[in-house]
Amino acid sequence: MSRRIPLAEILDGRSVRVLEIQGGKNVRDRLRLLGIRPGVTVIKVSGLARFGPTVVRCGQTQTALGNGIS
Amino acid sequence: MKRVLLMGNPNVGKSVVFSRLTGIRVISANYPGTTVEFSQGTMSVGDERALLIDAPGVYGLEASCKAEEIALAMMEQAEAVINVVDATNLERNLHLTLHLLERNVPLVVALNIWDDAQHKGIEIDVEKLKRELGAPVVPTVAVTGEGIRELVECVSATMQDGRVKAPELGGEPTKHSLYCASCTMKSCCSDAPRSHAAPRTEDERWTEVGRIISAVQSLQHRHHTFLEVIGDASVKPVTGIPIAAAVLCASFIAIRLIGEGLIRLVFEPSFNTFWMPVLLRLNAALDPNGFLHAILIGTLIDGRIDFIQSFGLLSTGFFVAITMVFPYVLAFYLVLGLLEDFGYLPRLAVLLDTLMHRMGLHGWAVIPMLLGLGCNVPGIMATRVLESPRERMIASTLVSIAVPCASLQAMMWGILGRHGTRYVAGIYLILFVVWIVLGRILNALMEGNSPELILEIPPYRLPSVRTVGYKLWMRMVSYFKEAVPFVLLGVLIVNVLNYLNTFTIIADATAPFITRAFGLPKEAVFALVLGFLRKDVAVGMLGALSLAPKQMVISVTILCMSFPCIATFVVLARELGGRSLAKATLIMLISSLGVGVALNLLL
Repeated sequence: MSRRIPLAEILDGRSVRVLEIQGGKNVRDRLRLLGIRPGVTVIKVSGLARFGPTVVRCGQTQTALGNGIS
Repeated sequence: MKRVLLMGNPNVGKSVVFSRLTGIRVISANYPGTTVEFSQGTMSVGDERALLIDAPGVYGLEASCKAEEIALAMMEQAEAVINVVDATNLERNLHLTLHLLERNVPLVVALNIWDDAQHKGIEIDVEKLKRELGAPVVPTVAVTGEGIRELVECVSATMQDGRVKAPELGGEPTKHSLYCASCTMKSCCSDAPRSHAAPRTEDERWTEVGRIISAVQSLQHRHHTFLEVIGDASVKPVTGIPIAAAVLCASFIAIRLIGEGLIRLVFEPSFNTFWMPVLLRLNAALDPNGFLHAILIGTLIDGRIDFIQSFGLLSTGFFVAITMVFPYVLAFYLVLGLLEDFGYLPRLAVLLDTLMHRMGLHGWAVIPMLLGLGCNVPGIMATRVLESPRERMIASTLVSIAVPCASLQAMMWGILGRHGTRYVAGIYLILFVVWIVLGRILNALMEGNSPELILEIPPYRLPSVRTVGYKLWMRMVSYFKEAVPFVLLGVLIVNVLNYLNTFTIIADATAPFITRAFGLPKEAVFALVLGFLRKDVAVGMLGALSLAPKQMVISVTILCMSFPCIATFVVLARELGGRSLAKATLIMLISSLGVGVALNLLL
């Protein structure tokens, strides 16, 4: 279960554990303050395949992530 | 005066709490980042008055955008901080609370949106939370006013305690037994000892949040509510894009129907019944060739007062401001207010993210654009939610060039709409194309790239009649206070210049250019210049010239693109600074000239 899969390739509705966040310090900081950090479980609500942002649910919060970081 | 600051994550209801505490109405909406600058007002705390400051929302104590910097600067100076917390989203919100406590900020926690938390089956043990945090906690429902009185009493007690001294570094969290003795509400904070924790690292803080959450919060399992189901549907591409199209079409139709309906059924008839007799009397009383008649009533068309062509201060001036523009402004802000409070706009941002990236922006930039459709001023202010100066530059330039404000649109419908809807639709199409093309050009020319979208999506909430109504009321008041005087001033200037015959001199001087490049009659130059003051008056002037539809399309497009009205210009200067403003102005002139000439050749 510890395979690394980019968030963009996960099916909608699946729940996954965040292993690592690739990206600059800026992106990691902002995600962390929204509660998305390595180790937590997020549910992917929807994604626009390769085109658009992905929406994940973490706890009670839904967050939209741009294509480049998902 | 002592200062109290409202702080909290974005979209937890700080502004609604602010309105409750001060009686001052501020704009709120169901999406993060509604407040981009702080507003302040006074509140009574015990026997004293204190200054309450509503700061923009922050996720953490490191500023990542302009709005957050403002909030953090305010924090240092406050005697007490009310940390507004979203009870439905305790985990993420507590992170900031802990961080604030570590900084020894004198804190009162308002556990807001308490009613929703209960509906959602989230149970929070308030007593336990108080003990864990070592700070007073008050459950509140700001929209209805529940818990606000208790909140004030806690603030009063906290202010008397003042800032707690900083602890020795590195020690265990030390619990002080500083009970707020003055607080009369036993249930509020009498058993909450004030503590201050040593600074933690980011990870320690999350661990602590996790521990507190498991101690105080219990979730009841429940099924998805109807609102959540449509919430999910509106961000999935397959269902979301049709929903977005439907919502936008419905909004547009609603604005048209309400605006047009108000004009036909209410404003025009009452203008004719009540105002026309007054004007006729005045007309009879004044010397038809005198200065006052020319200014107040204007030119008689076939011996009669014509509301559009006479162009007097009391005839056309009032007619434009109240009958032609106001109904549309009202309709626009009613629909916008409902969409804002329901929480639809962040979902639209997700769907449009890809499109906006082509223009160097991300999805969230639709907010400035949509607000700009009402008035460019709040539109440009809203660019503060964007992270980089580059994005703010692109977004503000696009708003001021290619986004027509509600006043301009109302006049477009009022004057050009009579020749046929297709002309108005044509202008929208031209501006949309300009918006995309210009955005792509700016994105290609400016250095840097666009940051990724990271956006919290709030749950759908049924809009409260009270907040939507207040918001509409406030926006209407500001229309009458800030827009109507300029409309009247514009008409006044036109009349004075006209009376002094200055017009013909300038018109003759610029005639070759205006006529050849844009195919417009020489008189149109005033309308274009007057656009700097008010776009709606300028369109009104074009209306008085009785142009051909093609000329109208060209001149309205140039009018919209060329130069923002003075209010927008001032805000643009403040937000962008001198150099960028100069650049933006240059872009405006070039693009409006280009499009104007192109339209003249093509149409």
